Amino acid sequence: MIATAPGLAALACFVPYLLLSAFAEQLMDAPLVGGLNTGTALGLLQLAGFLGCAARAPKGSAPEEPSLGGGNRPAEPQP
Amino acid sequence: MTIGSFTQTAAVVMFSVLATLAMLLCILTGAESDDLADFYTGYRALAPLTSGLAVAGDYVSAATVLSASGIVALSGYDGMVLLLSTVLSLLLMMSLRAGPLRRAGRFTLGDVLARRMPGRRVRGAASAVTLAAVLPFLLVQLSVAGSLITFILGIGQDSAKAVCILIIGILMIAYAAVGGMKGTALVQIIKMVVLLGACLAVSVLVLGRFHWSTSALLGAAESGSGAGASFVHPGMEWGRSATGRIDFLSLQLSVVLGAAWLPHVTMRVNAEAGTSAARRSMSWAVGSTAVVALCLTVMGVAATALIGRARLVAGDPQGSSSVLVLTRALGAGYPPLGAAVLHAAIGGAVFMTLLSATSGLTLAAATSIAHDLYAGVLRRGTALERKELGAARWATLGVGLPAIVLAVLVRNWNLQVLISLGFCIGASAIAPATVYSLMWPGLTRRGLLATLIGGTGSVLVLVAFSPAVSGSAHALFPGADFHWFPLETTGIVSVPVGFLAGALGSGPDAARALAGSAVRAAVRLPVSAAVRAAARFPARTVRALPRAAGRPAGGPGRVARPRRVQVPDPAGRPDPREWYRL
Repeated sequence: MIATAPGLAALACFVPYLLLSAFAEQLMDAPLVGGLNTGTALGLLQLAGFLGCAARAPKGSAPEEPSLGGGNRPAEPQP
Repeated sequence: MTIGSFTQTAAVVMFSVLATLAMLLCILTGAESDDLADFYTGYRALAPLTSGLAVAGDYVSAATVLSASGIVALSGYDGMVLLLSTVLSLLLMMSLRAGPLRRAGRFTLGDVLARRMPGRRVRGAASAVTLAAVLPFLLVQLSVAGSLITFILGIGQDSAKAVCILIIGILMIAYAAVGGMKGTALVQIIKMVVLLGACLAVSVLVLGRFHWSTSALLGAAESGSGAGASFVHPGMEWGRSATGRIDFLSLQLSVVLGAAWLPHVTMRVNAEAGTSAARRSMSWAVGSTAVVALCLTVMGVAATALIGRARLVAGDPQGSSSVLVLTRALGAGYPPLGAAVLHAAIGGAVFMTLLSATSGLTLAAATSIAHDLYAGVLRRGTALERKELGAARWATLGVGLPAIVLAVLVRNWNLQVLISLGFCIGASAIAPATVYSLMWPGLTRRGLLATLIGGTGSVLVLVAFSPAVSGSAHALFPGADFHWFPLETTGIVSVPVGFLAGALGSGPDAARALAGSAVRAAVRLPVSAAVRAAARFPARTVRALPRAAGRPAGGPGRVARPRRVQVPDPAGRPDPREWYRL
C-alpha cells in the first residue's frame, strides 16, 4: 500500500534511533557541526524526514472507497 | 512576577476576542437540532487544508504544548525525543488510516469495533475504554488551565485559579454542546492558526537573538541548565540507570503507539471524507504538527538559555509555564507595545489551546456516552436521532460539570501521571483493538473484549502501583508509598499485554495462526518493498523515453496488471489477502 509506506519507513528509522539514544550514549554524544551532537542532529533529521513523508502523501492515486454501510448514518442494526 | 497593566489589558482583550469569535462560529455553524450526523461529523465538507488543521488542532493538546516544552526546557534531549514521538504517532496513525485501516469510518470507537463485532458488550466496553482514556486527559488539562491563565494575567491569588477553571470549563461545555464536531472543528482551526503564528514568531525572535547560531543557543542552554553538556545528551529526565533507560523507551513507545489513537483524535479522522481527501489532509495535519514540535523544541531550549533552570522551576516544578516565561523575558527587550503584543499572542495561543483541547475531549466523551452507551447499549440501536442528539448535549454537561468541580479541587496537585495514563490506554487497548478488528480475520468477540479489558486493566493496575503515583517527590501522592512497579510509564509491559490478550482470547489456534502470519509479514514486507522500489525506478526512466524506439505503443514494456476489484464484505470483516499487503 502506497499510503502506509512512509509511516512504516519513519517508524523503521525511529526505533533504532530510540534504542541508540537509550543504550549508546557515547555514539550520540559525539560532537558534530554547529554545536550539535550526533543525537540532536539525528533527531532534527528525523523531524525533517517526517515532514517529507507528510508532504509526499500521494494525491488521489487510489480509487475512492465506496462508503460502506450507509455512509455517515449513525444507527446501525444490532442483533 | 509582576507585569504591567498595559500587558494585562492586552491579554484580556485577546482572550475575549478569541473566545467570542469561537463562540460566534460555533453558533453560526452549529448542527441542526435534529441532524445527528451533522453533530457528530459535521465537517465532511471542509477542504483538505482546513480539515488537516482541525485534526492537528485536536491532536496538539495543551498537554503536548505545555508539558512537552517544559520537559525540553528542563531535560533538553529527552524532551526533543518526546516531541519527535508525538509527531511520528500522528504520521503512523494517519498513514494506516489512509491505507489498510481506511474502512474504519463512522464516529466513535464503538462504531469502529461494532462494524466487525456488533453487540452491546463490545459497545459498552468501547465506551468504557473511551472514557477511561479521555477523562483523565480532560481533568489534567482543566486543572493546569487555572494556574496558566492566572500566570498570563499576572494574578497571584489561589482563588483566582478556581475562577479561571470555572470560566474555561463553561466555555468548553458551550462549544461542545452548541457546536458539535463542526463547531469545534472551527475552534481547532482558529487555535492552530494562532498557535502556529505565535510559535513561529517567538522562535524566529529567539533565534534572531542568538544570531541564528545553534551553537550559541545550545551553549547558553547548557550553562543555563546547570547540567552542562548533559543537557544535549540522552538520559537527563529518567537517569542512566537500567530502569531509567527502560522508562525512557516505555514512554516513547506509549506515545508513538498511543497518542494519536486517543478517541478525540480518531473521531476527527473518522469524520474525513474520501480516501484521497484524507491523504491530503494528512499532509497538512502532520506537517503543521511537525512545525509546532520544532518551534516548541526551540522555545524550550531558549527558555533554559535565556532564563535558566533555577528560575523556571521556582514556582512550577514541571516547567509547564516555561514558554510563557520565555515570552515575557523576550518582550523585556522590546518597547512596551511590542512586548504587550508578543505576550498577548502567546497568551492567546495557550488560551485557545486549553479551550479547544478541553472542548474536543468533552465532545469525544459525550459522543461516546450518547452513541455507544445510550443508543447502542441502553436502547439497543433503536434510539431516535433527536433523542440521541439530546443525550449527546446533556452528556457534555454531565461530563463537563464533574470535571470542572474535580479540577478545581485538585488544582494544586501534580497530575502529570494522568497524561501518560491516557497515552498508555491508547497504546495498550485502543490501538490493538482497532488494528485487530480491521486487519486480522481470526479475531473473535472474546478476543476483542480481552484486548479492551486486559489492555486498559493492566494500565490502570500498573499505573496505580508505579512511582508516578506514590513513593517519589513528584508523584501524585508524594506522602504515601505503595509502589512496586518500577517504571513510571507502563507501555512497555501493557502494550504487549493488550496485544497478547486479544490473540490468546481468540483461541490458541487463532493465536498460532496470527504469530505465523506476523512472522511471515515481517520477513516479506521489507523484501517486497525493496523489490517494488527497485522495479519502479527503471520503469519510470523508460517511460520518459520517446516511444519510437521500437517498443509497442501504450506502455513501458511492463504489462499493466488488471486492478483487483474489491468486493466489500457486508459483515465488515477484513479481506484475508490484505493481511500481508499492508
